[in-house]
Amino acid sequence: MAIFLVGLNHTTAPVDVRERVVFTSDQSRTALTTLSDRGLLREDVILSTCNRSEIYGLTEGDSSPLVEIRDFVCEFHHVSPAALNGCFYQQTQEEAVRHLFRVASSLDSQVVGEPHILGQVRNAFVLALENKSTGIVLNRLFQKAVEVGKRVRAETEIGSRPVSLSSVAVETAAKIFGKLEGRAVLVLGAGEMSELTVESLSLHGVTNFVVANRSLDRAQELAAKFKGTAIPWEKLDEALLPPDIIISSTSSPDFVITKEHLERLMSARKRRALFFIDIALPRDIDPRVQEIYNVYLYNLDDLKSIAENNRAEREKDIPKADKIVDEEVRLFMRWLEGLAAVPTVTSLRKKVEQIRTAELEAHLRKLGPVGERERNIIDALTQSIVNKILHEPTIRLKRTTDESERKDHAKALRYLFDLDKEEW
Amino acid sequence: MYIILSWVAVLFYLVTEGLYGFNLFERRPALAKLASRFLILSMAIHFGAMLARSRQFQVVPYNDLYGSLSLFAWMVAIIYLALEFRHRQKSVGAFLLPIPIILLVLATLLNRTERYTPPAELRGALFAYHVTSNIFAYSAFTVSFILSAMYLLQHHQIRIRRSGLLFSRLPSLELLERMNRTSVAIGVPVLLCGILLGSLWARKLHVRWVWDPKLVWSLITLLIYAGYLFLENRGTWKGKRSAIISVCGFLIIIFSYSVVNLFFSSFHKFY
Repeated sequence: MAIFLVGLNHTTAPVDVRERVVFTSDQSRTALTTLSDRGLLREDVILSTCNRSEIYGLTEGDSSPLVEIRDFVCEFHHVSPAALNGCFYQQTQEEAVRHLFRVASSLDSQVVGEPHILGQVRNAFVLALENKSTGIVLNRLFQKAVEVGKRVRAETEIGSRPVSLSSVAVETAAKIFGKLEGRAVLVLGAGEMSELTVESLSLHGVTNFVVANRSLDRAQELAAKFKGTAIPWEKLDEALLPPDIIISSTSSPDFVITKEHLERLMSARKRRALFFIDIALPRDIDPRVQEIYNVYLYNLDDLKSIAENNRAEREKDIPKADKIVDEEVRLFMRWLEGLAAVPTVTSLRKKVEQIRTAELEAHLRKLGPVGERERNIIDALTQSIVNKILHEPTIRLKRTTDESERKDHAKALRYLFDLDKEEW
Repeated sequence: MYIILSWVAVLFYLVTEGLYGFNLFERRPALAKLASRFLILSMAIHFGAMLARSRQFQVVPYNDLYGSLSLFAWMVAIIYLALEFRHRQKSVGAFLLPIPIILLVLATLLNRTERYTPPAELRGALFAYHVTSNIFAYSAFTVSFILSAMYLLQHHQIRIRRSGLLFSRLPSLELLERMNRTSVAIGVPVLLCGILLGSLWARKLHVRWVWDPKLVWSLITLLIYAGYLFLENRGTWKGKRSAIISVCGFLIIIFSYSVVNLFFSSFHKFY
């Protein structure tokens, strides 16, 4: 019995390969059932995201079912095996456990520390659990993986710094304005990048959005999405007075707001702080606006370089995270080895019980006809003797805390009682 | 006895500082609450130390260097505590608490145990109110100075687009500005009271009105901080500029505490 993992991820397979072997929830259910029906894996879980497709399972013997599983995946997704050549990796036991723990901790992600993978691991497990594809080992493995993921996030800086452009913009806004709830935001241009930033801001409690766009239709569309208001481009001057944050991403070739323009408005704004997020290329906001008192401006390059820096900072904490993972892998492996005593005890009892029933039958036959009552007494007598004899070794084996000692005991027991003939 | 209590207070302040510092990295409500409780406890012990000393020597805390420094430290702490309660924010504590800690350590180290009997004119309730309100006002301005320095630091981080450790641990500009306003708004009326009480007291002693250099500088300080409140309120000098005013005000305070006290002042010795 061994924990086994086979899969591919963003480092081994390009996106056009990965997208062909993605398992939807329904496909996962079918695949899980098929894998166990074919006797390839005893317990199984499929973890499939846009960056990875991995099958975790418990193998019966020591043989590796890599080829069979790979063939199964190809057959399932109607992909020729040649297309997946060299994309698959496999891990067993400790290494498989470590791999899953690192995945759950977002150490194996394309963007280290990204927060979604933990939920995806949890969902993959719940799906398999509901499908009754998991057992004692994988249940514990995945529960632990989720715990490890949480622990790494809490104890390291891996997930703490924003690495996407919109989240960097939001963090900076929060350092200027404190709580963002109740702040007024003006959106110039209704492009995709504006939408992303608006979305991040709205997640932080901003509700007051005004959208100005050269095409009013598009402005209304974006405004409706975030319950804001749309205004025609001609009314821009008035619109510049209330906001605290201005996001700009128009396709205008010239500056939409110049220093001189804004300077005239600042006294009417009572010199309140104003934060420009200029994500347009070419730039919309005259960089000289920063010379105006209490005006802040971040452009696309600023956001990018901060995001890059934060990414590097996150990666600095990888060794710390790996230490946590190692620690948890050790604990898990100890539990897994402890589990090894359970089959020894079970097979010992099974073997002795077989002997007892066989002998009982044989001797009852010799005895000739006996009444129901006498038969029950003899049965109880043999059972009692067997139980009394097995009591001590069972207790002692389970009670041993030292791992190598327990292994030795189990080994001795298996040898003395010749238990290894049976599979466990 | 009070020396031991002083050191115990220092120890408790250090633990408090550690808790506030830890809270900057691990935001846990329980931890922040514990930090505030420890601060109150430290201040109680500190107060006990001042009380024990007053009992022992029959002096009010502000008659010598130990007393005034120690009282100053205590008042900085209580103003911080007031700000914390008013603005429900614990992220400033770690940056502010080193001030009372350093002051108290200095006070305890510089302490001399001789008995000191102040002259008759340096006693009485009026004098006591005069001195305590002035020390209280200066504590408020010290807090404002630290908040302004933090503001300028954070402002600089945002301007140079540095999103490092400092940027992520320093509070937002908005909060710093708000807390700063509160502490100046506490300091200005209290300083005004202090100056008025001082002149009342002088009149009571039938001292001829003199333009004591210390008085002049106190009035300048008062004007600067009142100017801060005025400009801040009108909205013309929000943010960075008001932080700079506060820093300037503090430099003047340092000047009047040191140079003016030592070389020019006739009767203001320690404060």
